[in-house]
Amino acid sequence: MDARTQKPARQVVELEVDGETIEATIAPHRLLVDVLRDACGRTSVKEGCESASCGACTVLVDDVPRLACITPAADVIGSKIRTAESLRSSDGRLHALQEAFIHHHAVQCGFCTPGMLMAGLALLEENSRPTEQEVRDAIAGNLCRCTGYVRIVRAILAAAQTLGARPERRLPEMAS
Amino acid sequence: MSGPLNVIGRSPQQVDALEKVLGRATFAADISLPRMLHGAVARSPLAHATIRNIDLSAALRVKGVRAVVCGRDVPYRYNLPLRDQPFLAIDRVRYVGEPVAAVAAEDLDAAREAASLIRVEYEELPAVLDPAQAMLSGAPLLHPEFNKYWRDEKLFDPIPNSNVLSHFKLRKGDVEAGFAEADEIFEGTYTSQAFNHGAIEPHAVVAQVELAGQMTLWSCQQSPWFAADDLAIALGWPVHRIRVVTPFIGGGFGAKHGLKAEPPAVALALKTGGRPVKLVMSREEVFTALGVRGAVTVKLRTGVKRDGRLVARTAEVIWDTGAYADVGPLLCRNGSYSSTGPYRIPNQSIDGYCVYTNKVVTSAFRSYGTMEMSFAYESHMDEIARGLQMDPVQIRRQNLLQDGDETATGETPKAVGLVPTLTACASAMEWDKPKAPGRGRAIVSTAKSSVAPSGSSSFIQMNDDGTLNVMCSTTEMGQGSRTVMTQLAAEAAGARFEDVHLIASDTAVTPPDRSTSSSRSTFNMGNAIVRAAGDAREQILDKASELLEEPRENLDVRDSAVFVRKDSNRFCSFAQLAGVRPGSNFGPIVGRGSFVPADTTAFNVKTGEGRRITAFWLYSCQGVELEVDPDTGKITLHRVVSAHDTGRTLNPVACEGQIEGGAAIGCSTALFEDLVLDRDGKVLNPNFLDYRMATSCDIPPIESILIEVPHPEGPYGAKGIGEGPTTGIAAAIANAVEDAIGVRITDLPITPEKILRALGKLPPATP
Repeated sequence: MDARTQKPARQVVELEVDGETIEATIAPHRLLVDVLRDACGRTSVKEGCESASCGACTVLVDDVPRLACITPAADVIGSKIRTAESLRSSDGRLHALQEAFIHHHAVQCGFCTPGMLMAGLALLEENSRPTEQEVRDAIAGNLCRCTGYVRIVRAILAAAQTLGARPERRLPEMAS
Repeated sequence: MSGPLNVIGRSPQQVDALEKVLGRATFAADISLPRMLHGAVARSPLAHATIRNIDLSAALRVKGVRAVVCGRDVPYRYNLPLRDQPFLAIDRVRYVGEPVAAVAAEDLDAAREAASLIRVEYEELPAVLDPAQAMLSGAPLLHPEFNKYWRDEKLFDPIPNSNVLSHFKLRKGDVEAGFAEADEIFEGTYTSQAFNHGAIEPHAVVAQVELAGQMTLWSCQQSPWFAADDLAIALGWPVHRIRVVTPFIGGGFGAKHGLKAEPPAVALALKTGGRPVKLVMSREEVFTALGVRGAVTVKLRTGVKRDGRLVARTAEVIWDTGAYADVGPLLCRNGSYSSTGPYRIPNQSIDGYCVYTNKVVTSAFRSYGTMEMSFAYESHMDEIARGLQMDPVQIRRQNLLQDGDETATGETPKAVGLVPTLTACASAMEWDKPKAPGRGRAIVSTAKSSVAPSGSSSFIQMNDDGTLNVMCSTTEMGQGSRTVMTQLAAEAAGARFEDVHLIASDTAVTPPDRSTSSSRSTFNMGNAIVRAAGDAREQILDKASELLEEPRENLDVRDSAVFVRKDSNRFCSFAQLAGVRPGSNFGPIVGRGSFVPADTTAFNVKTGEGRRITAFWLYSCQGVELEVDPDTGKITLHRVVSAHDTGRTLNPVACEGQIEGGAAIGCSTALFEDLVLDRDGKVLNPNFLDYRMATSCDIPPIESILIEVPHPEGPYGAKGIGEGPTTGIAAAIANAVEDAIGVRITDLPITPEKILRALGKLPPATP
């Protein structure tokens, strides 16, 4: 009871989100998902389970996919955080993954989409020519109830092809 | 509606895909309003108890708390057509997780802390968790005050002084004579488990009651008018004082049809002096308290002739509705009469019982009973085929309803696409060729009705630049309605697809519509939009005729312009006709469309007879090929072939998306999903770690087949598509398992343990 009623002191921290430095006042126990949504305006980071089991809150922390719903914000101070809102380039062009998700109708309700895009991005940055099974494995932690995953897998494979064919598109869009 | 189609039948870019890939689509939990408070709910830890006392004092002392409410503050009950459910428990709790009190505070931490400090004194009552037990006389009654609840007596019959809130009866022909005539009689009992809807977005709502008396809900609500109506009746308000705005919805599947997260939020918003209250549910709350696809047991007995003709059937169906009615009475009716399957059976007797138990409330789930019924009747059909040594496809083909045949309720449906979907599916499965070694395969047929009567309406207004705003209360939840409604409006008005803007789901702006449910929107809202667009088109032609000084009959409307038919250099654009700006010669163009299917009839509650109980049916055929590892019991799905009668395919890719997603739900719920309760009625697996839902690695290739048997009343011939793909898959898997290894599983899900038990490799389950 004491531990719960005693409010921990809040601290002002700087987070690097999508290439932007954001100052936020947070309690030490605050989770990254809440800080990204409430203090950083990144509502694309969705909360679906609070237990690292649906993948909707997937973001990249120093290029590694992390689940923001179980990551204390305090743990990522000094890291580069990327959300789906970083995918579009500064001149407004969509990332190949975003284009492929639209083109292949990989989006239905759209709630899992930002997390799927980030899981797909992490895969393609690691492995530019994944097999279908590698794509399925890479998004196996991201649940989707609408699509049966069919078109999401297809879109990520298509984006890999596009990126492979047009390597010059890749670097600027991924710099955060 | 004649002439070549420009927009219908194509798959344009989904109108909302860009917002969604940018992460900009706003869902209810993303909404933040000035002076907004955050809510939390205190819930019952017991399955059945009377409430002796509620002490809110400690909660009220928490810093930042602005309102604490419990049942006595909101003495209202909701649910159509049986008003049994309180906003917050009144005097009694009936399931673990039932909302008992709620808190609104300046921040979520304070709200949760205060909710945890609400002290409730309970006196425990015996709980009843098994619907078969709950039906027995002498079982503890969940609702001793049942007779005081308002109910629509035209729609269903309860059994007095019992937990059976609805007993649906269907009597057709002479069942005893039918069985006497039969050469063989087959019997079976089939059980479908309870599972969660699995929408990835947990329920969320922001509620605000303005001091002038207007309430606004920004809610993940599939059916904004339905919810506003139910809430208005509960509060005794006119419906127009309740405005329901639905932002994007992160998956519905029935879980967000009707009041779900809203009542506790409304209870709070009535007490916060006009400050909005946001309530976002946790995943645990979604699993334990926001609805479930309830368990169903179906007992079938069927008499057949040696040649395979079905001549008689009795069905007893027990629906577990949980602690409150929600859609129970209508689910029991529509589901139970569907136990016939898509077959001609001249003599039938069906009894459906909808039963209260001390469990989370059963809500609508995509297919509204047809998943459960089709698991029963299509498992049964393969058992009959096996018993008669007939080919499973042949016996179906022989008994499937065709145009001119009569259904269980006495309806003669039009444009029946059952044989065509079966033929297409069998062909894609190469049914006439031997199956691959070690494999099992199966093909099943299903039919699903849609809700009736069922009205929709739409306004279409021309903007200053000649584009059209379409006002429509069909809610986008991933099914693609915004895109398809845009296509229909563009086609019928003669506009370009990109010139049509859909304004969706705000009851203060978009006109009445029953619900986004029951695969009804393409048919019903589609027709309303076609009518509104036709009305706008008439006005466009009148004005163009004046402007071009040419009789109307010489004019063509296409691509957002009006052309003189024989002189295409003479034309005017929609923008020239808009009449929006001050000083315009023309008045504004506003099209209006209202639709309700003609001549649908009510049921006779004594006989279950209804000559036209639905405007259209969904006809589907599902094929599955799989193999089973006899040592581990693991099932590997190799393919699903899913054939559906769309009537007219308005958007092929959107239809395929519905099929893939629906079939995947069919696979996942057939193999993995099961909401497990302990003996005290507590959900043991209220999270995605312990509750297994199919991932990207579990779903086989799904081949979609779109068959068109145009419906004379559908928009451009279209029927619905949404629910068909979830149906039949479980039976197809069960039948293919038997085809592969010779054992039949009759209770879902079909787990490796059950297969090993059936093979005698594990001891039988102990109850």
